[in-house]
Amino acid sequence: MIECRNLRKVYLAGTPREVVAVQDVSFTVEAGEVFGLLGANGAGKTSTLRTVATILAPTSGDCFIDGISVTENGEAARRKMGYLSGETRLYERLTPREIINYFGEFFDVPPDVIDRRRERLFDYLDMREYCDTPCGELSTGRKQMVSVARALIHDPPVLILDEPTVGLDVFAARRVLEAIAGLAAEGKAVLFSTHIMSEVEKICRRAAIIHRGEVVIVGTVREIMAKSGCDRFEDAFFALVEARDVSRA
Amino acid sequence: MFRGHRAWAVARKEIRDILRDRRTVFMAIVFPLILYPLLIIGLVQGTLTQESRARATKRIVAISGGENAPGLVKEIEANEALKVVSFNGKVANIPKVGAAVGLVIPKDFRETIEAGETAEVTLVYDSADQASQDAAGKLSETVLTFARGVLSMRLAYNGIEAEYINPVDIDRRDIATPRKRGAFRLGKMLAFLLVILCLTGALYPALDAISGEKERGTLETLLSIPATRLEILGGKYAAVFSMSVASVVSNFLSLSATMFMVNCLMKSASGGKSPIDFSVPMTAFIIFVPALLPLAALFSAVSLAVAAFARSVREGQYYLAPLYAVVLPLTALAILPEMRLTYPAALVPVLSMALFLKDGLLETLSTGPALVAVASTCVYAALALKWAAGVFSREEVLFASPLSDTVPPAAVGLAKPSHALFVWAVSVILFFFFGLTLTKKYGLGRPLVILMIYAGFVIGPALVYAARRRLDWRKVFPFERIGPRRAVSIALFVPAAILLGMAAHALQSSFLAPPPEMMKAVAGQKVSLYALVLSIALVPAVCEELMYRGFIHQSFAARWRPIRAVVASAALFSIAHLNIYQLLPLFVLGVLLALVVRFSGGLLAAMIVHFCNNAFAVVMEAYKAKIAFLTKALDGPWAVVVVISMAVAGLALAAAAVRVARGARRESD
Repeated sequence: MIECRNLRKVYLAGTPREVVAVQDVSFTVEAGEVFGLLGANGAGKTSTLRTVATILAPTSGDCFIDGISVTENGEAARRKMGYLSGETRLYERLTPREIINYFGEFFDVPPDVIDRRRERLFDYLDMREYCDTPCGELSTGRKQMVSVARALIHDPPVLILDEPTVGLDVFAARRVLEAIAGLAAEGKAVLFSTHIMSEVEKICRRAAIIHRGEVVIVGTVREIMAKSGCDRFEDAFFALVEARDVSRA
Repeated sequence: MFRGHRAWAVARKEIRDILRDRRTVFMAIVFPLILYPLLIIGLVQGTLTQESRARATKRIVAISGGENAPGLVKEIEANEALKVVSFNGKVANIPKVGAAVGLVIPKDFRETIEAGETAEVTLVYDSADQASQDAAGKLSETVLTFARGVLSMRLAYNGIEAEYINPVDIDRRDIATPRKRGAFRLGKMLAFLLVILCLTGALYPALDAISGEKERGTLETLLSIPATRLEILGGKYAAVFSMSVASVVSNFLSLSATMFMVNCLMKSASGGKSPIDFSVPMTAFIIFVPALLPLAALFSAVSLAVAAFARSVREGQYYLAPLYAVVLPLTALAILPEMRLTYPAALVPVLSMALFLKDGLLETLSTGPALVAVASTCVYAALALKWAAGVFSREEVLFASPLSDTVPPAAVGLAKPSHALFVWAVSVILFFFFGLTLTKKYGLGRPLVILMIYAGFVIGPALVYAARRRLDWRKVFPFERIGPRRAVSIALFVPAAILLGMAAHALQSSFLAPPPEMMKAVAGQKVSLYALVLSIALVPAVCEELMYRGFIHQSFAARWRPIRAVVASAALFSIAHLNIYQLLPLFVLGVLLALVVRFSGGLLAAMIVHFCNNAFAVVMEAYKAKIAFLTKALDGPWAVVVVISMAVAGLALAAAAVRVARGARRESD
């Protein structure tokens, strides 16, 4: 469903302030799978996900969403994906219903289908209580649920979620994680970035650790732990990142 | 391909979002509807009340020496608006007796009048007091009535007809109708107001639509929809344009209705015969659409482009301040009484439409310049929209680089551009408040004083900053070795600078020439040529190069693209001279000198070119009489050909100089 090939992203290329954010990142995400992209702040997770989501243009390499190249046909690729991050916010003066309607329209979903899907999402994500309240008056957890619904209104086969639980309390984070697991179970391919190890252990089948813009390791959670020789996933993360720093030095 | 329905979907979302923002809607649309009636009608009513109260109030006149002029006192007492009291002639006592005005009559008043001479009375009043001014006016009228009576008696006594002393009488006939008189007064104010309202109507929705999106984190959400950046920008543009038009229409209609009410009030106050009609003329409604739409299109595009640079609404407000700084003077220029919409003025953005509105309201609009003004504003709007689209598609503008705080290796040891700008501002302020005063005091004849002024106020702040921040002196002030090839490039750069500077000067003078009196004042300074060369050529060449091509340009060039660094440093160099008549020539010189540094690798070549350019100007001024043929060529019928030839030759020489300098740099590297 998602296939990244040697993705590279350089900011301010050709200027004195040039910064290489992502280097030769490659991985695949299958349908029905939650794939975790794990890294510290500034590791290159957001740059990678924004590039996959066509919000940023890759400097080189490519990514395929359901077989569609993001560099050659970004708009068609966008139709196949739902994107949300901890930083993607909502229009505070609009209600969840209005936001979902607008985004359905942007994705050319027929009005009757929008109505049907919207009502189903309100039930599925337990949003009916606040679906007509301006988003500015909602709690952070509820806002994130609206964002999830907004990303799902066009029923995309691929979901790209950049730290979707950031800033949420434990209850809201749990609800979001359960929703993500449920969507994968329905057959969607989910690319999920986080810096919280327990979230990866909880919902991801496979994961990649990214450090200083490069992929350190890709594999199942068990494979990553086995490779590092650690019993806990958190220890495995630190061991592999430190080993990469040592090999670089 | 641009799909209108996508942009329209974005526009509808934007408009709904903006309309939900009660503060923006209130300030842009509702507030003007209330403001004008409250403000203007309140003001007019207040003024009418004040005037009628002033008419009804008796002003007290304190008279000293009234016994010397009983006839005059009788005349004053006969005036119902005045009440007479006496005082002892001491000015300080006038307020003590409750009078607003005093009249001191000399002892020999009667004798002087009877002798057929002119008697002088003293009227004491306070020009800073409204009641005193009013009383002084009424008292003057009464004294003049008395004087006219005396004059009639004198003429009759001597058997002279009144016509004898009044050989010519002027019969003034004002052909302006009350409506035209109103348009004359209202036109200037209305033109200014509409242009500014059009700008503010676009600014805040633009800030909300782009900087606000970034600040709230919704921009990323919007960019994930299947629409191109141009379609998204198109939608935002349509929303901002609509808000700008709605704001001006609301203001204009409210103002028109208010002025109509004002007129009714004034008519009823003057018994139906008001000499002036303040109602907005019908022509205003006719010219309103062709003037407003291109202007709103231009302001909306510029506001969107500027707003795209800001990360928050607050930051956007800082960025928009310079926009006001450009628009306000251009609009204010249109108020000047002699300014008319001519063909050259029709090419100047903003000014052209302000003049279009003003001339339209005064019914003096010419069709040709009016069409050029509309067409040029449409072209500027299209260019601004293209710029906005370019800005909106740049990732580094829309998203802060995750590592943007990292200092690039080339910039280590140099000032941050924002800090360099601050130091520049300090330098300009110091030079304005102290440098110019000292230069005026000591003149250009003391090169050492000029050197101290430049060292202290031009380069001084940069040196202090560099020392405190421990900058790398060799990077801030790089110096190169001048070999034979560099010498050749300098020899080419010098005539290039002179020719391009002269062409730019001629071009700017065609729009905005310095008044001849100013030129005479500059030329009138009696200073030796030697001192002038040192003060005007050598000192600025050294100090300004250290500041502008050293401290500022090096800072910009280490972080920005070369063209941006060159243009920005040249603009600062030009503005810092605080001379509106030299803006363009100094900008051109700034660009050329920045190129000299860029391709020579150091400041020495730029100092030599700068010195030669300024020294040439000094020598030209000194031998003006001997080279009069050149001045004539620049004023004669072939002026356009001469200026274009100079510009072409200058560009060719500059291109050759850059080529040689590049070669020299490769050689030295």
